[in-house]
Amino acid sequence: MNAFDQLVTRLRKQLGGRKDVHVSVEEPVSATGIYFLAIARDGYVVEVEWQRHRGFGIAAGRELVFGSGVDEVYGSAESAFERVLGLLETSEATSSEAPVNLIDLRKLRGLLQKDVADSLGISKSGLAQMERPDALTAMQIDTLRKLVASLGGKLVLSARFPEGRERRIAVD
Amino acid sequence: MDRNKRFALFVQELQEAAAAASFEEARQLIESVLNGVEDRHSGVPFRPENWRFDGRMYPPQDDAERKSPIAGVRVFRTRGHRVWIAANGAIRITTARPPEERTILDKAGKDGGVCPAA
Repeated sequence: MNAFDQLVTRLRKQLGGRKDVHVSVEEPVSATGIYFLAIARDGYVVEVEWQRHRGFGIAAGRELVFGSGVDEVYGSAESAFERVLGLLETSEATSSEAPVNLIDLRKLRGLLQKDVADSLGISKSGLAQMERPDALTAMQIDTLRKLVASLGGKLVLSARFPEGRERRIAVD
Repeated sequence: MDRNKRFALFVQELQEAAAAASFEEARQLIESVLNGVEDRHSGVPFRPENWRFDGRMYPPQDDAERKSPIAGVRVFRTRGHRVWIAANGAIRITTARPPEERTILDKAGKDGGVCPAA
């Protein structure tokens, strides 16, 4: 049983008795393809996609736009399960604008720990330490800049003031 | 232009385009129409490796192909939708929200036939 099957099994067990919830599961032609799960209630839908090594991508709302990606990524069936139940409870729409932690950012980029560790010239365990949420508070800005660059991005810092002004802070 | 408007434009242009005569032609047609709309209106460069997060709409990829319940028709999943492509070039786009499946576009192939129903 893969991680997607685990999630589906848990959700079916949790939601099985609810007549207002409709669940649809779609498997890919190839086992390495993308698995899809859709859970709908009263015009609101949560979509979960899973692919080996990419984790669980989630998008939810009343309108899901054709051909676009996911808003959130979760590394385990357990965390995806909790998020799906939370979304069904609140009918909240996910957003690609919401902040993400460094692990989820890497997964959204579709990169493995090994890819990023190699790019930074560090070990996988070293990267795992850097990606821990509590590590960010003590991380040097230059280290964060290099980590973001290894994901293909550019670190941008800004300061927002009570009157609504926002200014970028030069970091390089 | 926001994504809902771009999607509506894609559907309109796909409906108005010349019909395809085969699966390969239909898939190429979907790609060229969608990429054209996105090149003109999304403001996001075409970088398929970024499909998961860059906000641009991308055509269905090979790894999103599902097991089809209809002989002679291949089906691809994309966010919120399914794209059905028949051997005669017919294209159907449906919503994927359970329990109902609503048809957004039903375009016949060059021989005039549409995708058979599931």
